[in-house]
Amino acid sequence: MNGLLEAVVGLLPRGPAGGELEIKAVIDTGHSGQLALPPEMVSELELPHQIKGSSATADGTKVDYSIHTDAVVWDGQPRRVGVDTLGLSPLLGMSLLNTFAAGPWSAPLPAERRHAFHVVGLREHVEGLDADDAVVAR
Amino acid sequence: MTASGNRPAKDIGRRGEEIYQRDIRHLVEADHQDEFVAIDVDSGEYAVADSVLGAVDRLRSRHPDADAWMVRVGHPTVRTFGAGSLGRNKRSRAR
Repeated sequence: MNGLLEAVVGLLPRGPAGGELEIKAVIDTGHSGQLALPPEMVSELELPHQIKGSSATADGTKVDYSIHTDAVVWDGQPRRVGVDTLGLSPLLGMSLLNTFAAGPWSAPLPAERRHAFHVVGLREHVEGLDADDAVVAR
Repeated sequence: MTASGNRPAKDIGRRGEEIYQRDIRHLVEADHQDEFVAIDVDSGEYAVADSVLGAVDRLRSRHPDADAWMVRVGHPTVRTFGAGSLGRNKRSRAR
């Protein structure tokens, strides 16, 4: 949880050239995509531009934006995801969270972790993050 | 090699929406609700898939350098973002 009481997950997105960024993404339950990153992070990761589209924010504002491709370290394996270039801070969308929930982490967890939501396992792949920044959604 | 992304989104969006409404919408609305359509705004060719990347990959396999626009069938926009992200971004901008 961050200072604004938003749920935060540690991620390690990796670009096609091998560059990596350690980020903390806010879980946005209204974000229908996979991952949104600010333009400077997309540039730093050298993510290839793919397509443009439009999006709507909660107040009805319509914004045109770009979609790039990326690879995120996910359960120890790179997984290709679409990255929406939008906003000023990383946002984890429900499409990626849904994929994650349907993946290996939804398999039975050790007894001591059964109370925790599976995003707990995700952040364990990101080294060096402060444990206090991790999200344990119950 | 993919498109540079340098062409203004406004221009690509205008052309893409025009092509979708005129040539594609009536072909996909019945059977592809909620799916994604990637449109080459110059040739008018398009690809449909149940994911953003699926549609992009299909179009890019035929037109790797196309300036492309995406539409979600039956939706006014491809993506939505939540109130939390809106507030966060507004606060960030204010700093």
